[in-house]
Amino acid sequence: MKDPIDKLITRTRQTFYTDGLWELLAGCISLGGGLLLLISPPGNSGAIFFGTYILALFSLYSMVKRRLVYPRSGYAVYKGQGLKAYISVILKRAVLLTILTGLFLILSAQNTVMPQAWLVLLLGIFIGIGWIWQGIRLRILRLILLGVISLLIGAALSPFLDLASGQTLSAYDRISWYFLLLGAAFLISGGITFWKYLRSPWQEGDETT
Amino acid sequence: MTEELRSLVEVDRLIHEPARLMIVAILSAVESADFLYLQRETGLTKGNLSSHLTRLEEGGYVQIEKTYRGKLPLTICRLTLAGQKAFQDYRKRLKRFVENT
Repeated sequence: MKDPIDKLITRTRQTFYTDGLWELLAGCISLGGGLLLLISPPGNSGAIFFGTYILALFSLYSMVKRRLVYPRSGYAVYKGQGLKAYISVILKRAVLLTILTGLFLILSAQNTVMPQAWLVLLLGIFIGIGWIWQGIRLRILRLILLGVISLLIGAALSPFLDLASGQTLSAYDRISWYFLLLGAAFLISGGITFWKYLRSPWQEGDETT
Repeated sequence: MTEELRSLVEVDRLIHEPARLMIVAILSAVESADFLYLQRETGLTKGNLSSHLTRLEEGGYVQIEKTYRGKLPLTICRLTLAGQKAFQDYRKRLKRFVENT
């Protein structure tokens, strides 16, 4: 059983996701990445365009935070936004990625026809586990659901269902569709959360004490 | 007096006060937070929060930085190392007491 101090700490950590803006940002990045992969042929590098797009999104994110969120909820720098925390996250993700790459290599060895097609399943698992873990840690149901959606999209686009549908997509298309669908899910979740956040009552606060 | 009771009596009174405990717990979960954020999360009035923050600052547990964002005043608060240690000690002490009773 959690004590009241633990609950308060968890609630404080949850406030990072209260406005839904992080999901909207992730959704835009995922959707943009999926679209770019879908419309640009393999080998054509859209990295510069995508980099500019991400920079523009982050600027927009900061602007919306400054104008709409900070006057309502106040300003906080959360743990996990510092360099040390980023390094820790990168290390944890690297371990998970190594495990998944190992799994991918095993699957590749067993499926000589289209080994890359399984990549989408691993992507779904990798991103899905990340969000499920975050959702459980912070006790936010919609983050767990987004993680499950990632797993489901990954599974639906993997060669598992090819036999049932009789269709085969290229690995490239599978990954494009994965990011497009995941991006749409994030945008819906973030959009609803942000809309609810803006509708919640608040009083203008000032700092003078 | 039993050891458990002594451990409770020796608890840090600066942190033990409910409002200050709330402030320190919130600050322990973030790198830093402004006055408005603390006010929203604790539900304390401006004057009340301000006086508790001053007490914590005097005790060396909280560092307060007064700055501006544009033309608006901004009060950034963060837990000092001493504050983090005191909070951890407080929690350990209380946990031990609850477990032993």
